[in-house]
Amino acid sequence: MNLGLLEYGIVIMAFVITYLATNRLISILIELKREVLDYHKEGKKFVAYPGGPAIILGLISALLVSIIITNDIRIIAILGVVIIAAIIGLVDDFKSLGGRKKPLILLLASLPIILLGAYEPNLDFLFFGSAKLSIIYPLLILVSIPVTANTINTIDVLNGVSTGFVIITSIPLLISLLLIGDSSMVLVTLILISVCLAFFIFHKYPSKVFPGDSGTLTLGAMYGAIAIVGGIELIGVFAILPAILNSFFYLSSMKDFVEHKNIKVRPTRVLSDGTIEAESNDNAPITLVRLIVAGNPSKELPIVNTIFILTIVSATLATIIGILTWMI
Amino acid sequence: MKNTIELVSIIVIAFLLVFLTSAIIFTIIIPLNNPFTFQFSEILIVIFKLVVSFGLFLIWILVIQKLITRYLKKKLNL
Repeated sequence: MNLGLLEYGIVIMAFVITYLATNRLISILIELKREVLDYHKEGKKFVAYPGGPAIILGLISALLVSIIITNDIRIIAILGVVIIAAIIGLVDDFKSLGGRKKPLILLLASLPIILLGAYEPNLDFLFFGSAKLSIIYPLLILVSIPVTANTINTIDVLNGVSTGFVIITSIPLLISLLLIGDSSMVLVTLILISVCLAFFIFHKYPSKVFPGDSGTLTLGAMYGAIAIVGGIELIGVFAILPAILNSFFYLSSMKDFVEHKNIKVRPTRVLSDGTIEAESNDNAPITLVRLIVAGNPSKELPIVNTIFILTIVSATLATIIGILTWMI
Repeated sequence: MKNTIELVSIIVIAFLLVFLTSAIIFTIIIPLNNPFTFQFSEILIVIFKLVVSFGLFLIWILVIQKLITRYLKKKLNL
């Protein structure tokens, strides 16, 4: 499997468009006074929000060119997922949809994959064999896209985490797809990584822009779509295990879909010097950040680095499974 | 970071449990043949497979939840 110059050109184009669009968008958002408080910083620091439109522009333009050169219906399905998730995210950024409504509306984002039949209803897993799930698989797709989108959305609590997280967790997908030899999906994964890298330059600590729900939901939905359409669902699940656990901790402790901004007792407290410490109140939600700072108050950057270390561990385990599946 | 090693262990345990759960589902639950001959038995066996798989998934959540609660209690002296 070889990617040509044209394909590499699309990946570079995705990077350049996202970089330039984010740079311009930050100035526009600051002019329009669309800024939010960076809660985990010393003093009152405001950050441009939402940067999602730049991510969306980078992804859509690169996917459109990819469709023209590959003529692959699966990329059309992924583009459909991206567009629907982006619209839902944008609506949520400007008019909050609420914790319960959002996952339900996100079910719509799964439809392009199901309607275009851009999937194989088989699950392959190492020496445990392959399972044909003709009836259940479309239902799994319906649930998977809202799950991955919300998972990436929920982990986006500190500077640079969501985009850095998607970059790291996309590497096992990329390696598995390279081993399978699926050039179209390799191209799409490279586009996702490239767009995230360009945005990460502005999103990394200390952030100049936040992606907002439009950014995180779009990235999460596209990640899920690649894993399903590429037939590497379990590898995708293993790679994002820290974020899945974060969502489970949160949901099981809150016992409801509650938006972060509507939480009564926050999981962490920010001290006057910017140190973040865990809330000891039993009613506070359990989150990954609360677990990291439990009994160990820290500044924001070391916490972000710990999240990345945990993600590298899960991504490495996912890569091993991907390589073993290919070998067997 | 002081807690990194403990959290890495939790991630690895969660991974191993997902691995084990998937192995049980793939090798035992899914290949299960329909032992009945009556009408709708095919649907019944599909529902049975779904319920067992979902049950295994719930067990995974409970184990991880216990692990996390114990970790938090120890760290925050609750």
